[in-house]
Amino acid sequence: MNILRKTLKLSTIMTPILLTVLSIISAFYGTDWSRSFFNSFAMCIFWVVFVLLLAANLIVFKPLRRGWVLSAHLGIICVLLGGMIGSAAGHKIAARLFGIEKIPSGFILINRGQTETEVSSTNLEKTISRLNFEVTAEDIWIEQYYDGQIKDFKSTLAITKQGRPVFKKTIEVNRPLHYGGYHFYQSGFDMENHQYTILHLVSDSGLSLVYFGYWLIIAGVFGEYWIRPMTKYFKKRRRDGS
Amino acid sequence: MAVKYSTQGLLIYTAMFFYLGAFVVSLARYRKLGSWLYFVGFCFAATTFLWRWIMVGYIPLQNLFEIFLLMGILVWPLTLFCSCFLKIDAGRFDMLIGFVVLLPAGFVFTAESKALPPALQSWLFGPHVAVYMLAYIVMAKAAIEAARHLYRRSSSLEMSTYKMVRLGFGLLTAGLVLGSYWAKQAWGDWWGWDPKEMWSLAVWLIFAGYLHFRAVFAQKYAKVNSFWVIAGFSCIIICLMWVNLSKIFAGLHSYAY
Repeated sequence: MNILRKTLKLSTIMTPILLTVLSIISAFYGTDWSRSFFNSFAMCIFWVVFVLLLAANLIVFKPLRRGWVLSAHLGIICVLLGGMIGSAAGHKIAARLFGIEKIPSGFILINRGQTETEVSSTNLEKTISRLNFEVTAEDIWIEQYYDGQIKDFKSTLAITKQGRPVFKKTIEVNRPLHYGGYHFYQSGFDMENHQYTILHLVSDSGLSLVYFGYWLIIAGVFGEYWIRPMTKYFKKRRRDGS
Repeated sequence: MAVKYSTQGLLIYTAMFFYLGAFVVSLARYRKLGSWLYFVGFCFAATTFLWRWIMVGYIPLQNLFEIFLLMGILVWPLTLFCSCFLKIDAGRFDMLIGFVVLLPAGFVFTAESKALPPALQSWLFGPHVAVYMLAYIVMAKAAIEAARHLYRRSSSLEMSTYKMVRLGFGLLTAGLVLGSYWAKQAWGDWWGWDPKEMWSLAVWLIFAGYLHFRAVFAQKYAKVNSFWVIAGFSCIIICLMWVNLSKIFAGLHSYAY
C-alpha cells in the first residue's frame, strides 16, 4: 500500500514538471506547432493520465480534501475535462458515442444581404459542414478613427430556423453571437469593396465546464492564500487586543 | 535607446531620480527622508501615467513603454500594503525596483502611441494587463526577499518570500483566467497555444510547484525555496519580454511590442 502511495506521489510530481518543460519548449516552436503537439495522440494520453492522477490524489491524500485546496484541484480537473470535450478529438468521440454531430470550428463567408448555412475550412476552400439554421448578414460595415485607422469591423447577423426568424445581433471583435451550440466571431472582412464578412464559428462544447473550473480555481487559490491568512491575521489581532 | 525630451520624459526621469535618491538615502540610514523621497517619486510616476492616459485616451497598457510606467507606480502602494499588513519592511529595495522598472520606460522603449486595435477594445483589457503587472511586481519583491534570504540566511526573510508569493500567486491566477476568458471573447479560443500563453502557464506552474514544495517541507530546505522563487521570477522576465526577444514567434500577443 505504501509503495502504491509513493508511486502515485512521484508520478503526480512528474506530470506538472513535464508540462512546465513542454510549455517552455513549445514557446520556442510557435503557436501552430504547439497546437498540434498538445493535441497529438501522445499528449491526449498525457492529459487523461494527468486528470486521473489528480483525481486519485484527491481520493488518497486527506490533506488535499480541505475546502479551498479541494476547490482549486477540482477546478483544474474541470478545466482539463472541459478542454478535452471541446477539442477536435472530443468532438469525434461525441459523434461516435452519442451521435452528436458538431464541428469544433470553421469559417463562414457571407455576402452582404445574403443567407448562408455552409461552413468552410480555414482557407475557405472546402465545405466541411452545414448548419441546421441559417445566418443572414443584414448589414456589414467598418468603423474608423478620425485619422483613418480601423476602429472596428461590424456585422449585423440575423438567425433564422427554416425561414422563421429567431434573433438578431450586431457582432464585432470582442462581441460574438451565441446560438445553437456555436459562437460566431467577427474574423475577416472584404477590405476593398466592403461586400462580404467572414465569421469564425467555434463550438461551445465543454466551455461551461471550463468556466466552472476557473471559478473553482479562483475560489481555491484566493481562499487558501488570501482569505485564510487574512482571517488568521484578524483573529490574532483580536486576541492580542483582548 | 530612446531618450525622451518631452514633458512626459522629464516626469519619468524626475520620478527615477527621486526613487534612486530615496534608495541611496535609505541605505545611508536616513529612513524618514528616504520614505518621503520615495513618496515624491511615486507622485511624479503617477502624474506621468495619468498624463499618458489623458494624452492617448485609453488605459495606457498597450505596449511595453506603458506597462513599465504602470509598474513604476504600483510599487509604492505595494510597499505600503506590505509594511502595514504583511509586516514585511523592505521599503528600500522597493525603491530600487521602482527605479529599475522605470529605466526601460525612460530609455529603451519609444513613447509612440497607436490607436486601440479592435481586439483590445474590451473591458478586460485593463484588468487583465494591470493584474498581471501587479503580480509581476509582487513576484519581483518576492525574488528580492529570496535573494536576501540566500545572503543573510534569516528564516524571517524566507517567511516574507513565502508571504509575497502567496500574494502574487492569486494575482497570477487571476491574470491567467481573465486572459483566457478574454481570449474566448476576442479570438474564439480560451487557450490559443500562443508562445506568451505557454510562458505564462510555465510561470504559473513553477510557482504552483513552489507552493506545493513549501507546503510539504516548510523551511526544511529553505535554500531550495529561495532558489525556486528566483527561478520563477527569471521566467517572468522572459515571459514579459518574449515578444521582443523572439520576433519570429511573437504570436497573438505581438501588439504588446
